[in-house]
Amino acid sequence: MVERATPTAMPGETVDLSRLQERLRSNRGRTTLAVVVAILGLVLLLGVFGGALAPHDPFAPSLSDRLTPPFWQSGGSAEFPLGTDSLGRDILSRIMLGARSTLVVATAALLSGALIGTILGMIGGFFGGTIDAFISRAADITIGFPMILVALLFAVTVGPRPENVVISVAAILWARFARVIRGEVVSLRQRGYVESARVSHMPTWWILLRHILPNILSTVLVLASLQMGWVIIVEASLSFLGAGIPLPEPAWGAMVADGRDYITEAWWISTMPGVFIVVTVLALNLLGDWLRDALDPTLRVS
Amino acid sequence: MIRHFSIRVGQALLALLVVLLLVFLSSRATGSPLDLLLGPQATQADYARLERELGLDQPIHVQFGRYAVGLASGDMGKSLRTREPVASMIASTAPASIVLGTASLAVAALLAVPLGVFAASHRGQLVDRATTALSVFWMSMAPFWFGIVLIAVFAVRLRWFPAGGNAGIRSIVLPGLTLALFATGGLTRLIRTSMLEALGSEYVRLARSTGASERRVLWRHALRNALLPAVNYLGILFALVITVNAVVEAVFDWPGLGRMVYNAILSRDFPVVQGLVLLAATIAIGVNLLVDVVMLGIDPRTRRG
Amino acid sequence: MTPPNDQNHAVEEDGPFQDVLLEIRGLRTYVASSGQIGRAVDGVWLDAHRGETLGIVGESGSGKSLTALSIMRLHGENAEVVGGQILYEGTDLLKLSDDQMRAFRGARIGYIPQDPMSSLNPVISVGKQIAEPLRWHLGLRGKEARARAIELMEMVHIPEAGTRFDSFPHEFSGGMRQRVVGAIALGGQPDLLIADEPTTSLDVTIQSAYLKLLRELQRKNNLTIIFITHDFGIVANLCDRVAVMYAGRVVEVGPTDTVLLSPAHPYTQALLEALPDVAERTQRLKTIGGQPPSIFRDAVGCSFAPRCKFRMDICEQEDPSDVALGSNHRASCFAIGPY
Repeated sequence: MVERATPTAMPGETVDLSRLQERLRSNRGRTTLAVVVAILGLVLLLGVFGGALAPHDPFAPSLSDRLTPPFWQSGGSAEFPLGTDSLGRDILSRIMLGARSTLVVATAALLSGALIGTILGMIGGFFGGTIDAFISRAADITIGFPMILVALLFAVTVGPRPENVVISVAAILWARFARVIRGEVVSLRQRGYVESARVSHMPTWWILLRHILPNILSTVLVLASLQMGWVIIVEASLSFLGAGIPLPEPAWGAMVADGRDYITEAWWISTMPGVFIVVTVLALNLLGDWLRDALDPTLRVS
Repeated sequence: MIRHFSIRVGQALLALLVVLLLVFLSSRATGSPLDLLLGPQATQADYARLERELGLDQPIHVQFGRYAVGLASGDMGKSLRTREPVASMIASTAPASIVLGTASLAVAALLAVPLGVFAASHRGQLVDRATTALSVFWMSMAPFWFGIVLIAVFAVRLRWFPAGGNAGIRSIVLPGLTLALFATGGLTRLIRTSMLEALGSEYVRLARSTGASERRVLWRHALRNALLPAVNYLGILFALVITVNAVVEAVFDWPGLGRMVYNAILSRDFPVVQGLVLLAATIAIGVNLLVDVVMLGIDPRTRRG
Repeated sequence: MTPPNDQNHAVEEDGPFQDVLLEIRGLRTYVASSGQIGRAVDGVWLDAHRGETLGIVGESGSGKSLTALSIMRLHGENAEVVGGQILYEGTDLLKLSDDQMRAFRGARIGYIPQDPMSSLNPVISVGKQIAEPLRWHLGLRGKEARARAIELMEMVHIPEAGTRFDSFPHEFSGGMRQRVVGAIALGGQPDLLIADEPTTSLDVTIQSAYLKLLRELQRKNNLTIIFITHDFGIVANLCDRVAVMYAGRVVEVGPTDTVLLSPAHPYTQALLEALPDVAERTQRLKTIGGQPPSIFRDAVGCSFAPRCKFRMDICEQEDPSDVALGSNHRASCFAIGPY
C-alpha cells in the first residue's frame, strides 16, 4: 500500500514576510527626485531667462540703496528681496543674471571634457595596443592634477576669462571620463557581437557608432551629472579668486568674493549667491546619484 | 617590481617635463614674456638687461634649457611687487600651508574611516542614511562659501574664533574645519562603498562561516580590503586639497601659499604665480607617484608579482 | 508501513547511518529581488545522518545552495528564512540568537564555498586565515596556532606547508586554494561539513583528487558531509544518499544506488536520461523541454507538471505529497503507483 501524507504545508503554519518586504521598499524617495528636478529646472530657467526676468538692472549702481539687508530683516524691503551689495545693486537680480554665466561656462567645460574624454576613452578601449597604453597613462597622470593651477596660470598671463575656466577644467576632466569609458569599452569589446562585427569586416566607425556608443551613453550621462557639481564649484572658486569669469559679469563666485570684506556688516552679500551655489550643486549631486542607481549601479567614480 | 617602479618614476618625470614646458610656454603666450616678468614700472634698462639674461634672441629650445637649468638651481625669479626671490618667499610661507593641509587631512581621515565603516555595517538604517546624506551635503558645499559662513557665524556673531590670520592655535580651527569637512565627504562615501563591496564578498562569507565575530569581520577582513581603493584615492584627494587650499587660505587670510597665489593674481605678479604653479604641480605629481609606490607595497597581489 | 508523523514525510529509518544529526523541516527561504519576493526554497524536508555523505542535486535555481546557506544562516541580506525548523542535534538553529548561532559556525558546522578564486581574503596570508578560527574555537594563539595550522595544511596535503604558511592566496592554484578552504573549514573540528559545489570551478583532473581528499577527511575526522552538486557523476562517486531538488523542494531522496538505478520521480528520471551515454556515440543529447518555474510566481500543484510526461489533471491542482518507496527512499509525485 502506498503511503500518502498530508499536503506539504504544515497545519497552522504562518509565513513571516515582513522583513523581506521591508528590503524591497526603495531607499530613494520619489519626493526627493521631484524636488531635485524642480530645483534644477528653476536654475535652468534662470540661466536662460534670468537676465530678462530680473526685477532690477544687475549692473546699475545705486549708492543711496547700498547695503540694504534682505526683506525679512529690519531695514530691508520687498523692493530688494535679498538685499543689495556695496554699490546698491540688487542681489537677487545679480544672482538671476549670474546663473547664466555660471551655467554656460560650467556646461561648456563639462561638455568639452566629457566629449574629449569619451572619444579618447573609446579609441583607447577599442583599439588597444600602444594607443591605449599612451592614452591610459596620460589619463592616469592627469587625473591627479589640480585643475585650478592651469586656470591660475591662464589668469595671470592672459587675464581672467571664461574661456580659461573651460579650458582648464576640460584639460583635467577628460581624464576621468577617458578612464571610465575605456574600461566600459574594453568589457564591451569582449562581448560576442562586437567581435563578430569586426570579423565580418564592418567599418570601424560603424561599429563604434552602432554598437559601442549606445551602450556607453548611460555611463557618460551618469558620470557627467556626477561631475557637474564639482565643475560648478571649481568655476565658482575660480571666479572667487578672480581667475575665472571677470567683472562686470555677476558670476556667483565673484559675488561671494565681493561680499567677503563686508561680512561683518552685510553678511547677505556673500551668503545669498553661496546658497544658490550649494543648492544647485547639491541638486546635481543627488541627480547624479539617482541616475547612477537607476542606470549603472556598478559605476565607481573616484 | 623594480620594473614597475621605474616605469612609474619615468612617467612622473615625463609629466613634470610636460608641466615645465607648459608653464614655460604660457609665459610666452601673449608675445614677449618681458611684460609679464617685469611689470609696468620697469625701465628700458630693465628690459634690455632681462632680455640679455633670458637670452631671448636664442632659439626656443635653448631658452627652455636655460630656464630648466635655472629652476634646478633654485632660481624662480623675483616677485614683481617685493623684489624678493620667489624661492625664498615660498620657503618661508610653505610651513603654514603644510600645517593647515596636514591637520585637515588627518582630521578628514580620522572622521571618514569610522564613519564609513559604521555606515556600511548598519546599511539602510538611520546611521547609514544620515551619514550618506551628510556626505553628499559636504561634497556639495563650495568650500570658499562655507568658510565665509563659518566666519560669519563663529567669528563675527559668536566671537569664538578669529576671522582670519594666524595668531595662535584658535586660528587654525575654522580654516582647518572647512578644508577637512570638504575632504571628509568624499572620503566617507568612498570608504562606505568599498566596505559594502568587501562585506558582500565571498571571503567575508567564509570568515563568517568560521564563526568570526562581526567586529572581527568588519575591522580585520573587510576594512583591510576596503582601504586599498581609499589609498588610491588619496592621490586625487591631494589634488583636490591643493585646489581647495588656495581658496580656503584666501578666505581666511591664512598666511600660506594659497593666499600668496591669491594676492599674486590680484597684482598680476607673474613670477610668483609661475613658481607656485610649478611647485604645486611637482607636489601633485610626487604625491601620485608616492601613492603608486605605496599601493604596490601594501597590496600583496602586486608585491611579489 | 511507516507511521505518519507530524512532519508528514516518511522518516528515513533504514540504512547504515542511523543517528540523525541534522533535520530540516519545512524550510522556506524567500528572496527579495527586482522588486519581488521569490520563493527560492519552498518547503524542504531533509535529514542528514551522522557519518554519511548526503548529496543534494539540482539545476541552478533549484534552491540547493540557498538551502545550504540557510542551515548556517549565511544567506545574506536579500534572503530571509521565513518558515520551518533546522534541528541540529535537537536544537533549532533558526531560533538561536546571532551570538548563539556564531558558536555553531566553525565549531559544529563547517562550510566550503564554490569559488576558490574569491573565497579567500586576498590581503591576508593563507596560514593566518587558517589559524584564525583556531583562536576562538580552540583557544590557540601565536606559535601554537601556527603549528596547528601547519598540521591542518598537511592534513589537506598542501606541500611544503611550513613555508607556504606565509604565502598569499593568489600564489596558489585553484585546486590548492580549495584545500586551504578545507583546512579553514575544519579548523574548529566541526561534525557537519557543508560543501557547496566545491569542485565545480576546478579542472576535471583536479576534481577527483579533491573528492579523494574529502573522503579521507571524512574518515579521519568522523564528518557528516552535505555535498551540493549538479553532477551525478560525483554523486555516484561520493554520496551515500542523494536528494534531488526542483523549484525549491526535494522531489526525491534515497540511497544513491537506488535513486540512480531506479529513479522514481519523473524529474530524476529525465535528468538521468539526459546524461550523455559515452558508449552510444550516435545518441543525441536528450534535454528536458521547458524551463523551471519562476520563483516569483505562485505555483499551484506540482511545479514539474508543465514539463512532465506523466502529467495528470491532479498534478496541476494539488501539491504532490511524499510517497514512501521502502528502504529510505521517497519521492513526491502523484504518478507513482502502488508497488
